[in-house]
Amino acid sequence: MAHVAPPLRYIGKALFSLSCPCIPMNAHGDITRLLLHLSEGNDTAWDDLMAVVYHELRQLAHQRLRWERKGLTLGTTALVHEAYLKLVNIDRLQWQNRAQFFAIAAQAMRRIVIDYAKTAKRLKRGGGQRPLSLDADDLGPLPDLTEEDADDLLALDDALYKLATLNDRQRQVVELRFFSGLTIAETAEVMGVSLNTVKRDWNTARAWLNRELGGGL
Amino acid sequence: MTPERWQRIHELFQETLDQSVEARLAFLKEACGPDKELFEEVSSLLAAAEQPGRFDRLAERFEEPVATVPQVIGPYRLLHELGHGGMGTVYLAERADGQFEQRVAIKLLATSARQPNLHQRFLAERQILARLEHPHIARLLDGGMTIPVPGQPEGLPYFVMEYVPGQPLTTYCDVHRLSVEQRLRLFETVCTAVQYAHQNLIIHRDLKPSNILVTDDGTVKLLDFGIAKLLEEDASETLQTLTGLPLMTPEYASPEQVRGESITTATDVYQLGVLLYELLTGRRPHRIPSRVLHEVARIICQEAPQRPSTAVEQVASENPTAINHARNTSPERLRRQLSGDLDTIVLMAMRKEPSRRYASAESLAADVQRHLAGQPVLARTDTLGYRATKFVQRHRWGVAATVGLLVLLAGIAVTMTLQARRIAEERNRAEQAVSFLAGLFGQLEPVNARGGTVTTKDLLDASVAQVRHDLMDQPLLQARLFGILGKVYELRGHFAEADTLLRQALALHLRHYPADHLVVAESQLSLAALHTNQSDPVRAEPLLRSALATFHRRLPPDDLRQIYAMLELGVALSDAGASDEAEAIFRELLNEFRPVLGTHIEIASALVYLGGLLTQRGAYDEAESLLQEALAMRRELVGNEHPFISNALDALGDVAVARGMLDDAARYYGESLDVRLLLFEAGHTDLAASYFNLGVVAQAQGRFAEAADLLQKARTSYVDAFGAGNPNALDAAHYLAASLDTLGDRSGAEALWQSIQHHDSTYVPHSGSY
Repeated sequence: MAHVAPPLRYIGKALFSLSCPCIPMNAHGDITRLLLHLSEGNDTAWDDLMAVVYHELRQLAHQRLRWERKGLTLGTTALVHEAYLKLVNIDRLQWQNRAQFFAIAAQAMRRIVIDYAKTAKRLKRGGGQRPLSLDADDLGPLPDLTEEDADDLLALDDALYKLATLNDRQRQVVELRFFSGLTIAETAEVMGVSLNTVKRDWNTARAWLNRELGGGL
Repeated sequence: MTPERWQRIHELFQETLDQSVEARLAFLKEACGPDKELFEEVSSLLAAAEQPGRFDRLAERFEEPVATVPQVIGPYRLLHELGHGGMGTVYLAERADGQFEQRVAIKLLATSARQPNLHQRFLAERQILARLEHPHIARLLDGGMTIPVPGQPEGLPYFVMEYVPGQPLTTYCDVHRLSVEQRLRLFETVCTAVQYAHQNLIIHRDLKPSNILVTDDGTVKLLDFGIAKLLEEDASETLQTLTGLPLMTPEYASPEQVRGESITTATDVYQLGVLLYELLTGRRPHRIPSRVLHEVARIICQEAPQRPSTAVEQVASENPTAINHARNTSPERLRRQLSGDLDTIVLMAMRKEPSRRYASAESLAADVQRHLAGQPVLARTDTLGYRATKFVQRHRWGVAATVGLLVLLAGIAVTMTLQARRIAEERNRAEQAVSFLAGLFGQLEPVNARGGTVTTKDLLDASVAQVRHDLMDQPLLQARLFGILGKVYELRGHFAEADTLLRQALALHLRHYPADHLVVAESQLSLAALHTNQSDPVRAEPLLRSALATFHRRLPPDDLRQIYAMLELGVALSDAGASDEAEAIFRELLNEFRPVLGTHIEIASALVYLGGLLTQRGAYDEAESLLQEALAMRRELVGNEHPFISNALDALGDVAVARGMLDDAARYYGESLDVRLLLFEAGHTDLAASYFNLGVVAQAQGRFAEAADLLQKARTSYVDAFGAGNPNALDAAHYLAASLDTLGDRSGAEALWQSIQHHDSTYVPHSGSY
């Protein structure tokens, strides 16, 4: 053979090393594995998953909320979808796993948002000053959450606990719609129930929550 | 409150909502009867439902409606739009995490995101583009897929590129009133950047002033390398067949682009020629008033552009400032500067035939340099003319093997897709690799001091040896390359080599993946398709069953891979004589996918196969109508010059034969041969099929000499490709012997019969329609 191809190694390396520069490989691999375990009936995987998703969403929220120019929204929908893209090696997952992901993410997002509300209230009470740095357990710079928002969120959280004792499916519908930002159709798909069931659950829960949170504006 | 009580409230609330507004109160009272508390609960919910409450306010606040264009993409925050075009929209953006003070340009591609492989192809392309590091090429920094949103569930691919604050090349030159010489210097720089990309196996394919920016300090930067390719591939099945035109700028499109032929480095050379034309004269070589494809194609493929020096006169009369001011010269002086060398250089770069242009961007730049240095340019001489066309015979194989390997390696990342029965598409891809090679050989020619010849087969063999040896420690890459090389062998008719490689690819994949992994299934499908092509359906069937099971389990229902596997399985079953099962498979496929896909190339294939099967089963009317439908569908999708067309015509010929309508049959088979003659080199087994069909009909019509001639050609091709024992070769021998016998050539016929006996003592002639 007259020539050996020197670029061979280079190309080979490029093919394997350049995955996605922005994704930490371990998180990526982990969540896929965990979701697969879960679909195989391994229940302890749920807690592990929750921890990973919660951690990731928090980090994302931390990065992103700081940069929301007007701080008008928490953008939870975008966060959850982004977390999904970051965490999940989509090729390997089937629909069922995807559904599980959004179910977990909705719960994780609820916890994050409620933590925000609590922190916001605490800070407001402490004089409304935002500290430059927060201790390790804090969430970093906060979105522009008014005290009213924070109160409503805490009331919502309480109401959702109550709703869970009345009809846990309705609690999940609200979580998926509100915290993961899923549409009615997506929610139905994730929960494996009919579109109509979700619509009806949402209607009732929405009316009930409006009433529980104190009615008119 | 108990859950049961709540359930009752929930149901009653819903039932009440189902009533008309006026009827609700009465309905509710009636339903609650004496249960006042129930009435209170439900009516307060009704009240809460009718007007926005605090929960609604929260929901509005937090459930951000996700716009199709996100504010933030990955770690970047979009600042404002820089521009948009057929490819998508470009935004100015900055790092949102504050890690760097860096402004970037983000190109959000407008693609149909439902392409099954878009994501993978995109990532592969990004890896290749990330290798381009050149001072005059805008760096690709990052890329990914946007967050899926409703209506865009797969997300859109985006590229993050170095932001170049600058003006389009032509604008820059005019604003700064650059002279011809200054313009040529900038153009040379553009050529070096293009040449660099070509050496990295990347073709730009959309070079035009808006993709070439010049910053205030005079630095040239080329944008968007390779992005057009991604979009073309994405559009290949839908857009391109509808409009005929990929998403390019017609004035800058090369003839081969307009005709949908292979894109090579010569395409970029052509576009460089157009660019130079515009830089020098102030107008583009072609005026294309219409966007109707055939009109665009006619102008680009047939009309010779005016010489630049002539065009100057016209520009001078229409828009004098373009010359007096922007070029800081007079029309007459400019005309004299351009006539001669520069006219020739531009027109040589823009020749209609890719092979007759400059062999590379570098040689184009070199000629520009010679002109600037006052040396004689090469453009006038025509020795470059036929370089690329016959490259295989003229180049030493050492270089060939190396470059071949490179191209194939790059090819995996760029074009690795399904390996299924999309023969034409794959052939096209193989041809692209070959013509890419041709372009590179043009550049490498000076290296080839000594003579010697090389064939494609040599090139492939050398590549296999190299892959086998050098990639021993990278079994997955090796497996993918074996898979690709195997398919190229198959396309070139080298079935034994293909068989070895595809089996090894499958074995390697099975060693590293679970048996029901998609990669394994694709590998099985690929090998099975070869077996079917080799007339060995018994080996194909179990592979296909296994692949199909994996696809069904792992892929969404609209993924085409399932169709490929079903088509292949139907063909294998039918070849193996299981026509009931085969028919069921085809009908299932059509029932399931036709409503979804409509006019689609795979649906047409299913129709052809089912039509063929029904012909065998005697259901001629349905067969004929399905086949006519398939033929029309295919013509709509791929035009007339395509193997798909000849295959459909053959199937129609078969129906005619079965009905005894031999004139019709001869006509269909003849049309089919006409198409194949345009597509294949002599000796190709598709041509053999045509010769065989026509030979059998000629024999049945008593034209024995003609029949003998046709059947002889068919047999020779089959024997060369598959060996004398191949069933098709035996069939050809059988019919040939009969013709020879009738013509009085007893010994010729004897020899054939003996040969048939020797290879298959139980031979019975083709059990099809004859």
